[in-house]
Amino acid sequence: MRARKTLWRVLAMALLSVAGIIGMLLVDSGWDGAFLALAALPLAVGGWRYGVERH
Amino acid sequence: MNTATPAGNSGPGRWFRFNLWLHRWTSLIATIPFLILCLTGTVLIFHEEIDEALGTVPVSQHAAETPQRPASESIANVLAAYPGERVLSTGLDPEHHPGVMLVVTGPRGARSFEDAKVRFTDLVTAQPAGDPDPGMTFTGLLLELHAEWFLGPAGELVGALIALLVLLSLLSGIVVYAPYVRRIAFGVLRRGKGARLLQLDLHHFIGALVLGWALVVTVTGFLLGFNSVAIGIWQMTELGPLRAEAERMEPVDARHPPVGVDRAYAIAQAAAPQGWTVSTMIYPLTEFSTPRHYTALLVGSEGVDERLFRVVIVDAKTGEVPIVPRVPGYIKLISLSQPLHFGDYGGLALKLLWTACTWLTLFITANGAWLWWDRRRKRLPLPDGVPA
Repeated sequence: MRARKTLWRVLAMALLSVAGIIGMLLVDSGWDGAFLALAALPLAVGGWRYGVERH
Repeated sequence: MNTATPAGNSGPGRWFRFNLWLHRWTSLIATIPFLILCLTGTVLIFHEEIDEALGTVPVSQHAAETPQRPASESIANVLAAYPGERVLSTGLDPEHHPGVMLVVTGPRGARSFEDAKVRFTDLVTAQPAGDPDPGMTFTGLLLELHAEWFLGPAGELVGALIALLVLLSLLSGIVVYAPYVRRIAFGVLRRGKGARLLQLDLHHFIGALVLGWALVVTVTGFLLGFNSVAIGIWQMTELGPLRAEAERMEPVDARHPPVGVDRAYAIAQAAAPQGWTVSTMIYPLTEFSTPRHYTALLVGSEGVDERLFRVVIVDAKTGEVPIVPRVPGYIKLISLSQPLHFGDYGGLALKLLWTACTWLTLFITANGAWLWWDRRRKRLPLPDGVPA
């Protein structure tokens, strides 16, 4: 159950990142920051998870 | 190049084994070209900054508000400097080349842009401002390697093939990853249990992080591989009928068309929808125009329109606009693929994100190949006399 949830989370993260990358191109500049944050979300989560893992 | 097996009593299923096989071999075949693409791609993310730092693109020394000379004077000066050539197109790009006009020339009888040269003129003085060969600059050479493998338009299809292999590797990688997370939680790195397990965990962890980005870059890379094919189809389907009609009309002198380039710019601009500006004027008698007509390319001024283009045809004898051909959806898709592939549309922050994702992808490509090689090495029988 936990594994399935993890897989869906990874896929959701990837889809959000795709949405951020495409959103930045298609939507006008007011939303750029939000879309950039979405695009970078997997790296941010990865950085946080790596930090937790190290400590 | 995951070599983990799924948990479960019945062992790996056929679907899993097929995807593991697909992931392994598509990745291995694409490893070397993909490493080259990642390295060249990293540099190309910053091509604007590099070109500016190396001074490869001429810039005007005059203030932006200084009055400019007519484009026809620039053309006349270029043709005087290169009497054996003709003009194929002119271009204005205030964002990347402020104050200068790009004049693309070719041999006197040329219709194709294949052997074209790019000349720059200063818009204020109309004098030549330099003629760097874009194909011979640092970033120009890297782009030719990245996009065409130095093979011309055919090389684009090679790029599409590599992108397809990487896409298959990504999709099969998701299937292979699914059983792995049953045993190893997301982000857990098994340290102190040997290099292989640590590299395997890193491969899965980083692969999950860059999955979305890699899908975007791979799909757009695949689409960009069909750039020349798409333009060829557009030439046949959209430009073809007009060209057939133009063949029956009185042709114009393509070197000195009766309707000058300044007037052609004005006519095309008048026919342009609001918010669209003429950026490129392709002269008559080229592969992208007819023997009688200019082809004007327009770019939008904001949002996604900045990445798209429209076309206006201008009769080089009468100044009429016989047709405003539609730009088909597949050309729009390929146009939008370019910024999504190179990540050059969102400022420095997006470029840094692109660089980080490229390097992480570079890492998992190399470590995936190492995982395969390491397993293979351990499976090979040792030579006689070598202690196990």
